[in-house]
Amino acid sequence: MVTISIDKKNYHAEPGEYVLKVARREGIEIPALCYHEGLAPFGACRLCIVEVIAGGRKGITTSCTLAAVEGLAVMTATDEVMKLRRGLLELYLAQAPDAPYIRQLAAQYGITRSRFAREREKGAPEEKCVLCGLCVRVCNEAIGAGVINFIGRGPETKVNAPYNEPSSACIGCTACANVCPTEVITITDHKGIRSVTTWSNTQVTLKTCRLCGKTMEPEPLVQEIHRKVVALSEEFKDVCPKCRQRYRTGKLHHTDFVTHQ
Amino acid sequence: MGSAVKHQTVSYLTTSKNQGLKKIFPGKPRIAVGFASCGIAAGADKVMRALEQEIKRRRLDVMLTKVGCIGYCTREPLVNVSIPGLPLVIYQHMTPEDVVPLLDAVISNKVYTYKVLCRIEQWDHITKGNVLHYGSGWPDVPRYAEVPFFSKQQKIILRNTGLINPEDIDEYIAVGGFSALHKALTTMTPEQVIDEVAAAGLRGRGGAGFPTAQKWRLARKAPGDTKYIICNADEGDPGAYMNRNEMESDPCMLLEGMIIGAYAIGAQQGIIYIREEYPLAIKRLQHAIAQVRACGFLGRNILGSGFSFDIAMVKGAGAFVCGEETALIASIEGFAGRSRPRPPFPAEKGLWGKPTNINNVETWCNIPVIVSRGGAWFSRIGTENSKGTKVLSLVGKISQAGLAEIPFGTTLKTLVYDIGGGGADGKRIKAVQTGGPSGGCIPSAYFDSPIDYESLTSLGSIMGSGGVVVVDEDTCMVDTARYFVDFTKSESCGKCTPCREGLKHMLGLLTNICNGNGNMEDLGVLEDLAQLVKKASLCGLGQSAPNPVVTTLKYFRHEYENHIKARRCHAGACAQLFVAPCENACPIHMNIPGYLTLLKEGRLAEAYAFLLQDNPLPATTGRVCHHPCQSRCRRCEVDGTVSTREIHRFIADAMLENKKELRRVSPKRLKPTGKKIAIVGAGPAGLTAAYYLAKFGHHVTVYDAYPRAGGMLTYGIPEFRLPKKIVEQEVSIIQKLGVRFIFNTKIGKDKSIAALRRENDAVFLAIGAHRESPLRIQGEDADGVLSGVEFLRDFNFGKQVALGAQTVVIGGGNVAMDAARVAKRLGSEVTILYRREKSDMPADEEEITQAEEEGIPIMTLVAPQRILVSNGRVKGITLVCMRPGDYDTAGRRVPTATEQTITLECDTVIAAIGQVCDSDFIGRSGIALHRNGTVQVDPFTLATNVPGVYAGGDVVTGPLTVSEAMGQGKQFARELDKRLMGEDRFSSLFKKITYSNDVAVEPQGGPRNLMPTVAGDIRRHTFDEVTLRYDPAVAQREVTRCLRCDVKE
Repeated sequence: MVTISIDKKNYHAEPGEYVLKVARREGIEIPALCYHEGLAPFGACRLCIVEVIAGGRKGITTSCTLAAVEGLAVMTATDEVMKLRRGLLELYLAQAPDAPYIRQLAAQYGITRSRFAREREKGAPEEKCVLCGLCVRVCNEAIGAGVINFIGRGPETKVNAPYNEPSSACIGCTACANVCPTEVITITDHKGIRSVTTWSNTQVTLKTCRLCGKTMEPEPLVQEIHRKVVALSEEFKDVCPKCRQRYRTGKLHHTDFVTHQ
Repeated sequence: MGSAVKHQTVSYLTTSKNQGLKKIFPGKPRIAVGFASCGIAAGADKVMRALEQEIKRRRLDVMLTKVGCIGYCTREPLVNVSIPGLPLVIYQHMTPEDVVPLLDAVISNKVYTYKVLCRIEQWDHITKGNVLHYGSGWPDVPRYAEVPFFSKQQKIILRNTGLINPEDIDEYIAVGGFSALHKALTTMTPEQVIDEVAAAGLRGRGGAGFPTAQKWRLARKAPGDTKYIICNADEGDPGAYMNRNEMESDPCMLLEGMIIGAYAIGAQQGIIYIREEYPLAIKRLQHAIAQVRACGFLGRNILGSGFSFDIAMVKGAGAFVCGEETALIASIEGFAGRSRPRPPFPAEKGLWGKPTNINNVETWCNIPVIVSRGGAWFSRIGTENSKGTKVLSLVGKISQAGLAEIPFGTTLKTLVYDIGGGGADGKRIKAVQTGGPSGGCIPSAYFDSPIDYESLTSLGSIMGSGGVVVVDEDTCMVDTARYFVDFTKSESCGKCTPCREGLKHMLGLLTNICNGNGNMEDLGVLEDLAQLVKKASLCGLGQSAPNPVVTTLKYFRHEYENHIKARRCHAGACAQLFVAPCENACPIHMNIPGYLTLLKEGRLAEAYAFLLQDNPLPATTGRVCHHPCQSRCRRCEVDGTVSTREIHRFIADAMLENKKELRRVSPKRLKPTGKKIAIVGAGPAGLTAAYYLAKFGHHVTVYDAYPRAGGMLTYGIPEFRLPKKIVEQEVSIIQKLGVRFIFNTKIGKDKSIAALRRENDAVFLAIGAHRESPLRIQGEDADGVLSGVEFLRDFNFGKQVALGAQTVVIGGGNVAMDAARVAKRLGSEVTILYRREKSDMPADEEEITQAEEEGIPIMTLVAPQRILVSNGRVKGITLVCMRPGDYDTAGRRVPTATEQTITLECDTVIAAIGQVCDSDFIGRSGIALHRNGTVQVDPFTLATNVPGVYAGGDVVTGPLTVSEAMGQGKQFARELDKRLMGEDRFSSLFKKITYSNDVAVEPQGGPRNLMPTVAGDIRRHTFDEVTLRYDPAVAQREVTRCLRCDVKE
């Protein structure tokens, strides 16, 4: 256990624990776009910056990558930090003007318009992606499917499947849509196919329950779960969770699960 | 090449050394061609082939080899020749055509004088005990140390480059190579090696300047057995190629440094990360690595020390950001080159999570010399905080470009003027850009600053990797900032928002400003963005990318304001802001291609009307303008400038003579506005302001203390340069517009400025600079000492001037030339005395030449010490002889007094050392003046601090030229009308005249047709015009020479 100071108050932290995590735990507000507790820190959005005043390299740094050591002292809302944060939000407003979360976050810091916002043509595609990389990192680090990544460099960077072609590696888990802070990723299920429109219309076949005939999770996702999370016995493999539930509550008898093939 | 002998003991090292020495001194002539990238680009490969063929054909017993680059890139291809017993001679600008005469000279033990650069009798290869003696002789050939480019350098890193064959390890060993490695591995512990590097005070040469020993200690102390060292050879700054030469010309030096470093740190594997765009460096390094391995300096149990180490090479793939260490590591690991947050730092957790030490090529290259000579020796070079030397690439608008290695503490002045030879084409240097896209621009006023880490940082720039880009008066600093931001924006990895988005928006703002669409608020936004990107970016690329913008805003804000407020780019780089380079350089922005084309089309009257749109005094300026347009004319690059000034004189003269045609050109006036303007001074500035304001429909009154209009045109410039009749004719055109002239009225005496303010809506002070600066020497009050300006004025007034038989004129400007030439015509023997060199004289080159042609000698480098007086009259003058001293920050040599004096007999001394403004009365009425008496004004509106009062011309700028004064008058008129009437009405003053925009593909018209001039010995007896008009056929030919740079599509 080490003691660190945030905004002149002391808190306990595990040695090496990231300051942003400590702050979130203690209810101290530090905004962030690219941070997720389950993923390695990325340091890209820069919103979580704080000022180190003691116990480490002095100056402005991202709290998501700042490891707690005994005696570390940071300030989360100095004039400089706030000025930089507001500047960043102006940049985000220009980059993702159609994202409600960005508008809300910016408004929280008093930014309602951006000096860099361009006049957009009618019917222009909605701009919401802030390149926080959460979708890329969750797919590569947490899920391990590696469907998408950053393509290109600098301001031309985009996220997509390789060569902007539909991916055959996608397991349809929807983790990417789940972690996206700005609702960029569109996934629709229709007639037995899960379409991830945003990733070049990647399509994943949905599994059908052999008992009730309704579609359930995507086939590759189910296989992945069985492989990595919990191995279900044979008779439950092709049965949807609802039907499994009905067995548990006795509405179905185990003989219903015998395969009729 | 190179022996495959494993060097386990020093005796094997000696064997290789001897083998190498036999190659450097083969006992017969050795011809070595400089074969690095710059030499090959200049044609060294062709020279090499020609040499091969000719040597074979003649069956000469001569050794032909290749060496690297000695750094004097402007003089490539370089070839050095070593004949046994004689000095090594370096030849420059060699071509295949030089091969035969060179070989002729070589076989007769002679020097090929035509292309010789310098000789080297002995050379210190720095690592202990390695001085090579070539031989003495040929005293007429300049020594290496006498060549200005080399004389202030100190070669330590570049000690071998250009002298040894980079593809032969024996030659490297012959000049002391690997003796340091041997010393380190056999007599020193790793900690002792680090101590030596610490004692040396070596700082990283890649840009950040972090203390190297400290970095090594961190890596050494980090827990873990597997450690890596990396050489950052991703040299990406545009214009920087020091590392390239270090690798192409002396690759073993880098390898030796890395092996010693790995030993000190405890690393087993080294990686050279080299940019793919350096194919020759890659090839040479791969070859060197193979040779070093074959010698046993890489691999297992090196020199029997138990230390094992090897080096691999990884190529980059075209990303500047991979020069940043975390992105570099990501690239080696197989990921895209995107930066990672630090901490953790690479010394703790780097390549594949292991402790890693990354250093720049040049940092590693310093190691062998530090180990060989010791840290104490090294620390004696340089300054307190910046030890050792730095290789700089001196490029851009510099006369002598190349690689210069200087000890820290050398001033920018020495680098730019002594080593670099000043601006290319004699142009004035504006600034240097150091540190590449991460650095900043340092204006020439700061060139006294030493080159070291702290000094450059305190000026707002950084040392960077050593690139020094020189920019001159033709470089636009806004465009330069835009260029660098464009670079960093496209090289940004894109991971973090401030760099990716911030640089994108900064580029947008800068582009707008360069296109004339910027506004003043943009500067504040640019500054805010710069701070945001600097402070919030993830890695060094973003953190330093705004530096060029920040420094140009700090030192060159006026250029930004010019682009925004006046929509002008003085340097002539931003194409949207000017019609053509000539028009841009013209102080009154005459549309030069326009009038040239109209004359070409035979439309004389329209050409004249077209001239009058921008220039109310075309016949006058056609005679006396200093023609800055001609120095920017693109035709200069073909066969000489177009005679612009002479043509508009031709057009105006032809019209002024033809009264009938002249009457048809009736100047248009807009409706009367009821506004009243008073102009003080009927000189060029005042006349031009009056002209435009009258055309705008305002009521204009011009006051002048003299009986006639013209100012310097009438009372300064002599008749033989500008006939008074011409001035009168052109003034009458202005009078016809309804301008009221009130002569013999001195404002400040006969009428006050306050009164003018009461009676008018605006007052324009354009009284010029008519008082001569005093000489401030003994005897200046004697009879016979005259002021240049007064002398000319009295003469032009028709007064009798007390001129003796022997006159000296002191000064080097146009007033001095005019005074001298008038005195000569009045029968006196005249000598001009100037305290600097002729090339420093501010007078127009033509004036100087014409004065000399008229029999007036010019004595340079003499300064007046005392005027000798007898009975109150001048009888002589004593002069101190000056010598050109050190350079000042502007690149001019400061004249320094010597002990020697000269005394001349004379009875008249005319002082023309500079004019000042008679502005006391202006200051007394509450208008703010500068310390030198000129009036302070807003540079765009020409407004003074007193509402309603404006000023322009020499009274604001100090003594300048006729056209610059006219430019101010025109600017004042246009801006005032905008203010009074609420809109820019300038274009409504004139009828639009169109002409053809067909442009010939090839340059037409042949070489320049010069203005015919009366011979000097004839014209010096008369006051008739010196230059005669063009013949109409000649004028017609001359106008076809215009390349029509204004036609852009």
